[in-house]
Amino acid sequence: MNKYPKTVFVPLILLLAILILSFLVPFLRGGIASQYDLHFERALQPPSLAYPFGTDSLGRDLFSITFMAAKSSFMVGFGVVFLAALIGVPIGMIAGLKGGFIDTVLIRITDGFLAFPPLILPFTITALLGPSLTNITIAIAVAWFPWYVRIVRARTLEIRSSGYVESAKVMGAGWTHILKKHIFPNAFPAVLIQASADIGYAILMAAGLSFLGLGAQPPQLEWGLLITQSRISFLYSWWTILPPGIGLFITVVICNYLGDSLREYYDPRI
Amino acid sequence: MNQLLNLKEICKSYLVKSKSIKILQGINISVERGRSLALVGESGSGKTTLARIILGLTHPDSGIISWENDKKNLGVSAVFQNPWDAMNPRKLVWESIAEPFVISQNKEASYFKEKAEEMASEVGLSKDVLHRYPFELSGGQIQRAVIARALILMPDLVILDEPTSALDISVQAQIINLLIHLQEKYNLTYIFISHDLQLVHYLVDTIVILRNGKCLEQGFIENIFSNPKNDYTKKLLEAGGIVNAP
Amino acid sequence: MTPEYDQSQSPNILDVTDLSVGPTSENTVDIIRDLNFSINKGATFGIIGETGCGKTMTAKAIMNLLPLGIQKKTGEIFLDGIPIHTLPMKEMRNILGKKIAFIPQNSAGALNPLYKVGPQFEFVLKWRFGLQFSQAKRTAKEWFEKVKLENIERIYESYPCQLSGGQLQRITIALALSLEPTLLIADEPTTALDSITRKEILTLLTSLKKEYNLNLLLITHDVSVVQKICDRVAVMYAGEIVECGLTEDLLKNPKHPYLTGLLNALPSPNKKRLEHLTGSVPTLQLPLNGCTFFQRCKDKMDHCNTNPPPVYTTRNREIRCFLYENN
Repeated sequence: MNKYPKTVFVPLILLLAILILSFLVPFLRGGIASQYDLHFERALQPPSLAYPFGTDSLGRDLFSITFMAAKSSFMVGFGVVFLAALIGVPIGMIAGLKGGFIDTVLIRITDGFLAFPPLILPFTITALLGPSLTNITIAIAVAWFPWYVRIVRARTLEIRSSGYVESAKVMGAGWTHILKKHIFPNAFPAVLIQASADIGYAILMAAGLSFLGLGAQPPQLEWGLLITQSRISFLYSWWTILPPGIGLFITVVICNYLGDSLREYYDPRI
Repeated sequence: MNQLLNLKEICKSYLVKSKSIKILQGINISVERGRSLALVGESGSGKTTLARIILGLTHPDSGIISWENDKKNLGVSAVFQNPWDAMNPRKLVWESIAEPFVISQNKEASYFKEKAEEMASEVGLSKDVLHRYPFELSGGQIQRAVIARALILMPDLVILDEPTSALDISVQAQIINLLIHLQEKYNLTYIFISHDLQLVHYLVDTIVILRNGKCLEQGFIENIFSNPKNDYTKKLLEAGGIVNAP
Repeated sequence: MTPEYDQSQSPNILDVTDLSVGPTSENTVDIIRDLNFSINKGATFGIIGETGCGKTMTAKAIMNLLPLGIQKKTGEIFLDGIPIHTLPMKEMRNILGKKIAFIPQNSAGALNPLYKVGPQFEFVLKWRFGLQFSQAKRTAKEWFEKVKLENIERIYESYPCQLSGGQLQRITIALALSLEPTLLIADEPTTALDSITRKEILTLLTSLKKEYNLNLLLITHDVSVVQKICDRVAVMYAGEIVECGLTEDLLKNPKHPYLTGLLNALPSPNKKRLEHLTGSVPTLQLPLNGCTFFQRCKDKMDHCNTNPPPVYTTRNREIRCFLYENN
């Protein structure tokens, strides 16, 4: 089962490459890469040999800035998914396993969270706690965990009624054994598939919130923030808005591809 | 009379949409050690529920189950009908065969790999099959592995719920011969659930005819087949191709 | 233009010659090879075999409903003397559901779970015969009577999930018969049923067969079904017909080693021990040298492994085995 096919490795490697470049590029570009290094005299210069993506309104090298911003976006993406799964998977498994009253209570609470439009919750939390990347990570995770509860609960219910779990019960297995050996390994692929596509969407949502000013704050570097910072200038300086936008686009596409490859890989067996 | 298991007035109902459906209505059965017994009935007769009660997967609403020696040192295992659902798809075949040890001794499967390999060769599985996943095996091979798993702890009683009905005819014969051989070798007691009367006639000593949760007739198979008392039994025998000796 | 059927000329309702079906890619063994059989008018023909022998694929090939990636490689199929293997799909659609009707294996799955069974039946009748609503309803209920369903009014207004396997099977049989087909193909019509229900369905098919002078192609793995209802039977193994003949004769005197082995493996009270066939159906690979049954055959000879055996005919029996070379 550890022999994942090429279609799974390729997107993973691509994502890793972007992350590595995120650290490497500013290092290679030396002085001109610093996000604190503002040079208004070279602001809004179109792409050239020295500055392949041009410069933004603060005179920063867009090439380095865009790659450096990938770090934050990735952190939020992985953070959101990790947190949502961390909360959602145990709840889903317990609800599916225990059934009855506990199941009903857990599901209703989960449904309560689902009732919030996915953007309202982050608005509320940042209104209460202040805007920051950490806060929107928590906020989006809280808005999203119900989906993981549902996926895991559905799988748990399916697996519970399977022949091999019945056989394990005949052999005298307790719930710990069944959970560890049968339910978790068979429910996990579904979570993994959802999570891999969700990383892209989390990054996108975080960018959207940062665009609105609720996430990353200047002088932090994040794709959504970069887009909003180029709002004023992009009509005449088209190069300022493209790099972060394309960065988002490529990342989401790679994550979707990863999710699809994983689904194909697991499909005959789920 | 070496009585392994005795069921007395077993009753069970299920609630379906606030209606109580009686699945079992006063079942009385006695199972002797070393014999084979068949539970025969059409769908809805309650035979699967009865098997699940014996296996402890569900409990009767009323009635008494008594085991030999109060079930101390008594092992019961099961072989179910559907081979494709019988083993964890994400575990290798030998790991599944070793699972009874893992559960009873609370150790990792690798401790019991050798025992699993021994049992596998007993049931006619080649070693390379053990290191594959269930989906790579044929139905017959999976059922052999399931039998290996059911017997690895040397149980006293094995419940077999239509163990061959999902298999091809030629494979069915292989599995049946294997089951007979193992019963002789390890002095096992079998309870078969089947609707295939030809198979049942070939395989067991005693038979219990179930219909709508009631036990219509039970006794030695020769007696029931040659002298059915109940009309339903006669109908069943005729449908199953059993020709009555006058 | 759908060709007119000249029902007087051909003595056979179905002729299949040299049929082979396989995956589109070049280097794989065909799923069905060298298939030849005919069904006389008014007869019931059975194809018997185990999983993967190609029997369902044969039915699909006749109906030109092969799955993606599988195609007919060679062969001709004649329905009442008219070739149907060359018909384009548009014209084939005039035959399916009108001249050929199919009873699938999973009868519950054949009906749309979202609609009541009565209206589904009406819909089919309206499509086939252009009947008006009230007429269709009457005809549908008549058919329910003919297949001996009880509580017709209740069943008519039920959804498939509310009915038992036996009831659903009767409905799909009625559906297929109501189309008034020339040829009826039934794929494992009794597999999922209890023994008493199975007997009732077979009795029903036998009586309907006589009443409507049906031409029936029955596909099954159950020898007892073939015994009860088929006039002639073909035994398939790994994609080929290995023996074909009159049912009673064939089952009393099996000739091909596979059939002999299969019949010996059937449990019956007189046997002390079931003689099982060792091994399992082989996964075939090119090139095909010799008989597909070679590995498991008790009576194999040396040259059985070098050339594939042809079909030998002897006294109304066809056998694909070198043992019968000189008869």
